[in-house]
Amino acid sequence: MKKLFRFLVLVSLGLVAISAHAGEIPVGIYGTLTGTDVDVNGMSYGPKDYLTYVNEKFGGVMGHKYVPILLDGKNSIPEEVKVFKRLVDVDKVVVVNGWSTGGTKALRDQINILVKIPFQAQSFSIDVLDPVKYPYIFLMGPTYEDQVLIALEWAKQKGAKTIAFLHADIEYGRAPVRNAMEQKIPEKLGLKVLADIEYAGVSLDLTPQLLRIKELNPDYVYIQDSAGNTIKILRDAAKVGVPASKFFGNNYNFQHIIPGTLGKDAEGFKALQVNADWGANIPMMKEIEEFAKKHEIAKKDAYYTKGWAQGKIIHEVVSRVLKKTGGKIPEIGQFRTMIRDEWVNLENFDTGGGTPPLTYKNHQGHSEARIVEIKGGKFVTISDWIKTQ
Amino acid sequence: MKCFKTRHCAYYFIFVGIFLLFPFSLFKYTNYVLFLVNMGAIGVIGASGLNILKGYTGVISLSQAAFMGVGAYTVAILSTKEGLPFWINLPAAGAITAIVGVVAGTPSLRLKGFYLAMATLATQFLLEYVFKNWESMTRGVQGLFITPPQIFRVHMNNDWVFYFFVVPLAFVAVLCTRNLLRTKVGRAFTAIRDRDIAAELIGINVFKYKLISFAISSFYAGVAGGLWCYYMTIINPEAFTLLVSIDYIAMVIVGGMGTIMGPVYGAIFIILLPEFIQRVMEVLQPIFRMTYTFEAFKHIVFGFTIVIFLMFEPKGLSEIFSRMGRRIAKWRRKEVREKGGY
Amino acid sequence: MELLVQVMIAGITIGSIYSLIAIGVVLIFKSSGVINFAQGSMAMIGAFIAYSFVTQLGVPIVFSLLITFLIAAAIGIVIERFVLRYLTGASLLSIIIVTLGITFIMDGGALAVWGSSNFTFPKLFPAFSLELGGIKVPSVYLWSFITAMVLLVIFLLFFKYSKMGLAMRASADNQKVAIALGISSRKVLSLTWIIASIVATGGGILLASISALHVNLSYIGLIVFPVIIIGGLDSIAGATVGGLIVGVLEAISGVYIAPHLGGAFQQVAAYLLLLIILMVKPYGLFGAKTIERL
Repeated sequence: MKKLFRFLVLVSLGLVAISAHAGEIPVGIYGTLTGTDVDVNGMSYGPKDYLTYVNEKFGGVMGHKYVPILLDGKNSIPEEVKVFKRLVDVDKVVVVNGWSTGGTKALRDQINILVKIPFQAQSFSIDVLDPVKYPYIFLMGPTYEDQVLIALEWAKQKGAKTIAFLHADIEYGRAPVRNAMEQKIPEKLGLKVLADIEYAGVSLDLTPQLLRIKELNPDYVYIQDSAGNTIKILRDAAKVGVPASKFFGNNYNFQHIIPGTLGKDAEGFKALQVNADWGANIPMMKEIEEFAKKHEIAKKDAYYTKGWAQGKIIHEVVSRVLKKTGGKIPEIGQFRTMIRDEWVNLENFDTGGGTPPLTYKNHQGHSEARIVEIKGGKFVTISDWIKTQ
Repeated sequence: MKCFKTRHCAYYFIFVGIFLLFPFSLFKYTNYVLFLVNMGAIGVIGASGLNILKGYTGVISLSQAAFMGVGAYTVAILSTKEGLPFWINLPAAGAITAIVGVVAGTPSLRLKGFYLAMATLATQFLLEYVFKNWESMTRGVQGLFITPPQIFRVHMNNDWVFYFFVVPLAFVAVLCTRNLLRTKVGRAFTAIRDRDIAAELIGINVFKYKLISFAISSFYAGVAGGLWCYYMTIINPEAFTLLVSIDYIAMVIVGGMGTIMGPVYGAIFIILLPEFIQRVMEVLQPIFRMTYTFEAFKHIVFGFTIVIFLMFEPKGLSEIFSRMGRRIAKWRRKEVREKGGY
Repeated sequence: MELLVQVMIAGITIGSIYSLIAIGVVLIFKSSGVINFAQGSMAMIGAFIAYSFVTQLGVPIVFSLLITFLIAAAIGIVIERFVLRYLTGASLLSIIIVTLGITFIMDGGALAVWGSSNFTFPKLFPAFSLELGGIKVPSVYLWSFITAMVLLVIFLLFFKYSKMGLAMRASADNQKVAIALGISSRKVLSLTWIIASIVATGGGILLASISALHVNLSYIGLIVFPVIIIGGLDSIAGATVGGLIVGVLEAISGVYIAPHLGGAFQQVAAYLLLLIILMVKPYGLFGAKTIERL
């Protein structure tokens, strides 16, 4: 028993030394692989798969292969901090593809001051988007507040006068709504906010909340939550007789499971699309299909495609840096800073149709979205790409 | 100078030496390993507190994470709004959490066992609600940013600085626990745990001592929470959920309830086990070509480890280690005897 | 007024599902003194197994349900025999942690086998809705309410009059004496877990029919606790009533109180009630006071 114990200790110490070798480019990716928002973790599988694709198809970048390392952040701040430190310290990655707003905030000093490593977060929060204070943090897509603006402008065009917000009592739910109210987005459009209704993120039944909405009868309800809870909202809305067409969801509601589960109860529901969907007829999708021939794809949805596009950005930026150094991998601190500098210079980068052309001067990539609506059991586009800036 | 003659002193010197030199010995992965050690130290403090409540007084508490949250928010509010230094904030966090703990402990007047546990579960959820909604103080779900204090002009959330600060604190916590149990108060606790009706009969005011136990254990939790706050530099209610409370309970049980070193072993185990599983899985992954399911396996292995542990060694790691210690002692005595010694 | 009626109906319908899950927990406690924190996970796994058979393997619904219940029973026996048997006499906290460990195993297992997406649960019930006071109550809710009531009656009768029921209660009360009287505690425990598993699976299937099917369904295991405290740990009638009370409380506080207090107050309302009740009646509304001896 003692011998076994000693053996295990030695083995585990030996296992600690797994890291990338010279001539390879380690890239760190973490996301919620187990935890509350697992349903959108395609965004983390996407970059990993894309970099693997580049390795297989092109032999890496100028002969150097990527080593994508995917870890589980569990959507919990201490876990994400731990994973980040591991990627930076042990695996010595040159770029980190992060996840949550909270985790990104906790790591702000690490990313921008102590370690200085380019960090692409899956957040859409304005709190981490600051080219001056956080020069190493990059996002991709319109912020939640931008999305509220787009949705409410559209509602205004349709003649709406009153709205309500519906969200969970977590940061993801509350902060964007708060920010939108503070920036007076509804007021400036002449819309009256009838209520700001919260529910617990793990609630199973939202009928009481929907009953309130029925009482108040706003013209539109903006849902700052993801498909999992939206399904419950629409299901209970149908129960009390509030039509799905009153509801507008953010970009995380562009999931086919909504009409798939709810059928006709979801007709008329609108959401925002911020990047191409799975199966769209674009060059990027052809790449994914090629990859899919030999690999299993974890999640076939619009979040995976977003992740794929993010992988493309990483590859593009790393390639540009290596072209400048003539194919030599610089020392790691320098490499990270050069990647960041190249990233900021990206202008109108084409992701093969996956997203609108990306410009990173303000660290956001793009801030466009288009509105999609469920008609006949499927999402159809009902607007053009709308810019907010 | 009695100390220099005993063997124990040598051990202390060795310990202190290891402690001081440890970070320097990590050539490659310093920050990461120190991070784990630091989290472990915070865990030791929190688990020691819970151990006092559960292991020694027999109260099942599911609200340890919420108490840590109270401590964390206290520190955050005192340092951002009032600008007080850390050597005031941390004890204040402990004190305020102790008060909250006493209030939370009042149900224990009439409740026992499972029902008391449920009352603590309610406390956990209620405190979470307060964290999320008392926005004037806590900024709700957006959380509070802290600028960590500086010790010798280096920020405290630097892994090295924090290590030299928190590990001695953890040591102090364990030492305090040991001493506490040698006092009248500590003996009252164990009496209550073992047979509370009998304890009442011999004159121990059970309710008063239960409240003291809540107070002390919450003090530990508050300090642990305050340290966490300084280390993470951002706190929000999502860091102090029921799952974290369960982690602490697991630490106390796996380490060995009612033993002094139990929380230490438990904290180290619970913090390191996921890392160990992660490494093993990484080695195995190319062999089995699992992709996204391998994260789920970590969950399963964690659960299994806990279950197997409790099935085969319910007294925890401290029992395993003391058994090993006893076997070593027996073997050494045998050896000495064989060689013709005493 | 109409709103109030609607709110109460909403509360009762979701409350009946809480009752179902709570009944399983109370059952296990009544016969073995074990508090099963894994009930929610069992419900979730049961729902997933049913889903697999109906959707992925295409087995006809009736057979699928039967096989699911059999598998659920098997899982119950496995837990009882291989895990809890080692822990007879262990402290309450150890048992709680073990069942929590089982929760981790089940949640991880479900995640590994089925993944983390939302799934559409097959429509097992004829999709009609009954219009009650302005709310279209889908048939699922009616089914769950009826099931809960039926189970309540069955179990009440079972525990009071049947030999097995009495045996279970005796075993829970004092295992040694029960054995001395010739009651096979092994059989009793196995049977308890089988029944509890099946009830949990039923609850899980109903729940998945109402929401989408997702590994997070296991969270319902948490809501169960205010229910059984309010109702009393060892009272099946209490569990049923408790479920309805908690359901209605959540609904009412969600609509009327939360707007004033802010946040998602409805989630903590049940716990607040739990605290208040415990202060007044330390053994729950219907629970029996245990007599402690030195």
